[in-house]
Amino acid sequence: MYRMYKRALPAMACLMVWLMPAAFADPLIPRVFQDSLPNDLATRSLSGQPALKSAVVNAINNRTPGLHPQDTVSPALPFNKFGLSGLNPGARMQFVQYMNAGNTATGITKMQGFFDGMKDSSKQARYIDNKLRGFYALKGQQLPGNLSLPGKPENKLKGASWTSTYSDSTAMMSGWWNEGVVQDVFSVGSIPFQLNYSTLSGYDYSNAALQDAHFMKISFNREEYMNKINQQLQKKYDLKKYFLEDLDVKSSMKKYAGDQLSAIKGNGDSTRGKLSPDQIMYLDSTQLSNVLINQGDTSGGYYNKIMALKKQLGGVKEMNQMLGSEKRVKGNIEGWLQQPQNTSRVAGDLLHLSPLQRLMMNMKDLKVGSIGANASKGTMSDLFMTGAAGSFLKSNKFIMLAAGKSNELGVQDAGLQSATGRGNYSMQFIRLGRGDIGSKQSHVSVLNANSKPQQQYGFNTSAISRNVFVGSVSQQIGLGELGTLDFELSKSSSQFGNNSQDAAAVSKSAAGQFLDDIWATASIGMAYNGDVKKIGLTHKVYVNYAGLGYVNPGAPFASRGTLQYGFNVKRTWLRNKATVSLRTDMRNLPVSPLTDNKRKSQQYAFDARYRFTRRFTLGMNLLQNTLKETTEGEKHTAFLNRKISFTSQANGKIGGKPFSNNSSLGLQQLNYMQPDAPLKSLFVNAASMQTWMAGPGMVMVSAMYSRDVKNAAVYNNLLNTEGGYQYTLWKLSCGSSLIYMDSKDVVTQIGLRQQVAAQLLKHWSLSISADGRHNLRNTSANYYYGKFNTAMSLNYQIN
Amino acid sequence: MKGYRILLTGLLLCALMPLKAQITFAFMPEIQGRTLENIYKVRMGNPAGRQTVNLVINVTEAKSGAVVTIRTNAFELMPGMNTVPPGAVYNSGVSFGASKIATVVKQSGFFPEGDYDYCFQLYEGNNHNSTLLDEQCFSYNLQPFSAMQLIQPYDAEKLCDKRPTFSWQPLIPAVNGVMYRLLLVEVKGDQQRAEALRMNLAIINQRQIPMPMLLYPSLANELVEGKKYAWQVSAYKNDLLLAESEMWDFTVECEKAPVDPTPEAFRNLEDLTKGNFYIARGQVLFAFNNTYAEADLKYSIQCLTKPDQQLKKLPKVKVARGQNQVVIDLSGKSGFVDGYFYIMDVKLPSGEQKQLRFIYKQPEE
Repeated sequence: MYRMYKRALPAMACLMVWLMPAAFADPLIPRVFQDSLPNDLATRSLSGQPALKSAVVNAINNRTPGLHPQDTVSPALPFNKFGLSGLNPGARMQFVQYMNAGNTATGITKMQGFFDGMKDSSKQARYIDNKLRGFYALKGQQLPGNLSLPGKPENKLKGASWTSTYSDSTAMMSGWWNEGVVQDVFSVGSIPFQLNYSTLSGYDYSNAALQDAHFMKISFNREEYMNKINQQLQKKYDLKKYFLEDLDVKSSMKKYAGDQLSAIKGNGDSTRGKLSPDQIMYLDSTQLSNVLINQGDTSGGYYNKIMALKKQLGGVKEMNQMLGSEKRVKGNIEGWLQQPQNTSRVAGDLLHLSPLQRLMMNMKDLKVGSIGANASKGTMSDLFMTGAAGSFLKSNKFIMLAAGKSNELGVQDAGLQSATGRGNYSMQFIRLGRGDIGSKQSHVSVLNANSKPQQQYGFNTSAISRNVFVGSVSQQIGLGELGTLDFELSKSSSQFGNNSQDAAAVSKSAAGQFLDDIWATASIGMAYNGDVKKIGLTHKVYVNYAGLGYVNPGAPFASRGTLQYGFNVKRTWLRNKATVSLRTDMRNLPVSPLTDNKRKSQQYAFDARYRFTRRFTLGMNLLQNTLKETTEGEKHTAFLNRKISFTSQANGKIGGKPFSNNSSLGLQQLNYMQPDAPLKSLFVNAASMQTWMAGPGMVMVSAMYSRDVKNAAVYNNLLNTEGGYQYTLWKLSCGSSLIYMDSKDVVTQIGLRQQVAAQLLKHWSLSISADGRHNLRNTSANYYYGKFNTAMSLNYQIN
Repeated sequence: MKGYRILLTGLLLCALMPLKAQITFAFMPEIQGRTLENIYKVRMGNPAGRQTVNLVINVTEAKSGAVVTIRTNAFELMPGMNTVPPGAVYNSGVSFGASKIATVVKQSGFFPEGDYDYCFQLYEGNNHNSTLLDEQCFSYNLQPFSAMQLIQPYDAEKLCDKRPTFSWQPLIPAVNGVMYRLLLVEVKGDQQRAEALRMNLAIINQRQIPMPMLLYPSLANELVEGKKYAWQVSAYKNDLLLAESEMWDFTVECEKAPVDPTPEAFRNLEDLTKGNFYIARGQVLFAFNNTYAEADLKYSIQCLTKPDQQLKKLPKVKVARGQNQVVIDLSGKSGFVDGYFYIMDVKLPSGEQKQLRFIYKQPEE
């Protein structure tokens, strides 16, 4: 465990250092999340909308009590410069308090310096405007508010479970298997994480020693974090106010204009001031000037003051625009505000977050420990490793980092040693670019991997020193209504024996030889996904190529030496009543760079389904899969699997009691042409499962029959029937079944299965099942069919 | 051809036998000769005492010539069976030939099709050019393994079968004694399938499957509707894992039975007849109290939007004595079109006539 973290920590540190510059930028530098807001909300910015600003100022003045004697010292903010001359002294005082809250003394000095400096005044204005909106939206008596997230460390056990199973099936690796899971949620510095610990153990196939594996995984819980931020936001702020939704712009502006007018009038004599607030608001400056001239109010002071007020309120066009947008925004905003992931976007402006908290706001995921890592097929896919992985998306800039060590074998493979040639690697991965994975993107990825010898489950897996370098470019292009186009180009480069003292034969790293052997080591993937909603059609077309020399430790199951192509079309009619899909997958697999010898795998699948009523559905499935070999011009089919099956699903009521039935009938041709034992089978498959309510419980009857008509297959000639009853006994939910199974020429069994499940106290649940069989007949060919299987599972769950 | 080679090797062995205490090499080219990662798993039987040696492995192909040469670091050869220790392997020097085959091996570590000779030379001490203690060659006409492609259930498929049959492509060329292993696990919560296959308790961990197909084991508990499962197949021989398939997943999902309406959904017929158009989502629901004997409910429906539309074969509804909650299921009946207006005449057992107006809405699928 300790070793694991010793390895994971540097990776984490790298991750942090890499991401620091973005997150640890001076929090005082104004950053308004304009790009993350919907358009309508973005226009709610106060910049360039003096009228709106006046309305806000007015509303703030209204709620701020008058001047207190001790507040007379004018706070050192250039209010006039930012068009906030209208704020009354009390409001000014509180606003400065709000601005300073959460900052240290040096921070405040720094901020002062920032405002006194003359550079980039529009940026400053935007910052102040945003702060003003925040100040306006502040709830009740929050000042001098604590606007940071509640920082108390929390820890809560979420659940735990233990499951033990035992089965005596001869070909199971081990009789006993145990799984233990503990889930815990904790938060550090207000950032929530989930901790999962699990252990899986079983016995070695050959020895009787317990083999166990332990997995620890700590993952950042993004959803919980967004909820937390949202809660704090809603607690401290009235977000509707932040988006100025509550503001009756028109009337508060009118009031503001009226107040200003009387203030101006107060300076002059009583004959003046016949102007109404409406005139100020709705006349343009020329008209206003004419009115003043007509009234004879042309004296410099008054005229100039009126015109200045007009300028402050803004032109008629702007005013109408603003009033219009107000209507549009209302209603829209309501729904938007209900989503935590939306509101949390404005949290950066409104709450006092630490640099780390800010960083985590844009962290898509972060996992440390025993983790699966996935990015895309040509980069990292279905990889399991011990290490760390995280991805970060901000302002459409994406970065993913991962580092760790892969193990080819797990505890479920205990008793086996690898001869696959895939090996174990320690690797580092970085992917960056614009856009998110799964949406419009252009990314570049680099993976560097070094082979590692390993000791595991009783086997030494040695390895030759090897360095693999994989570079990839991934692109998704949106074609609008036509769909999306994905393109991925990946190229690998390998070097063996870097560690050797025999320097002559060896070069330093695979990255240095990256451009060698391009075609042999390239992998190209192209896929087009589209749909025509109008006619219920979805389609996918793809082509993948991978050279014989291509290798990617980040995608251990990626194909090598293939040319793959195919399509998938699906269409639905009549509100999903009818569905038809057709799929093909072709793979050309050359076996040598010198000859034309190759293999060809072809798969065709056709599915159709029709729902007659909501209670009855019929389906049909046609499948053909072949694997053909071409050796020196001669073709032969090594494998053929051809299948046709019909399925039905029905549910409804018989005599007022609900029932359900699933049935299938199929014919399957299976040719497996091994040189020493060619096998040609034709199977008939039939299966049916019926349930219905009877008495206090439910009856369940099922039968499965599979038979090789050609009598070629030893296994898979099977009849399995079960009849059971599910019922509640006291507080236990129980199920009992009788089983009869016959595998022709192998074994015949009858058996009894009993299941009991109970909810104990509030948080505990227990379930036990046991299945015991008696062999009526047994033969030496029986590898599969054991006589006993039991499972016990105890669960502790909170919520 | 193959037999001839083995015979020849045997003869060679016999010829060399009397000369000195032989170091024997045990190597399975059909398994260990496929990848660079496995060639050095050769085992050496040492009848003599402990000595310091180094191993040079030369692989050549009949048409292309030199493919790869591996020179291990020096290691101690103990009496009895030996493998090359991991440290000596890790620090080996590896050099490749110039052919296309050598390029593929150099890049991927996998040997493509070819007629290969694997020669193992054991030298004394640290030097690769010192006294040759022993040498043995194995030849093998290699066909690379195919990728074991999974077939059914298809990746990301949704199926209703709780005991599905699994099938996949076999491993070719067939190796004598090869068996398959199938691993099936549940994918829980936000797990990735790679995590699930490594960390979760297996529902099926079945070995010794001789054919590329597995019927769902009778003894295993059946799958649960609504859950997601991941599976993977491996091919192995004895204790050697030869190949692994991709990981695929599927979800068990059946057609949903129509949900029974909750009692609150039934409004009194009296209220409904007085009210405006009632919205019937696939079915007309109403409640009324019947003081007469049980009988079939007499009713007829007419379309108001298209009055000439014939509405026949309406479902039969029985009413009992006392409070009745009537469900008239209209979904799937011909003549009922989403958004059309209808009027229903109901003749209650009491002889009372009621009229109910409704808009038909196709139920959510």
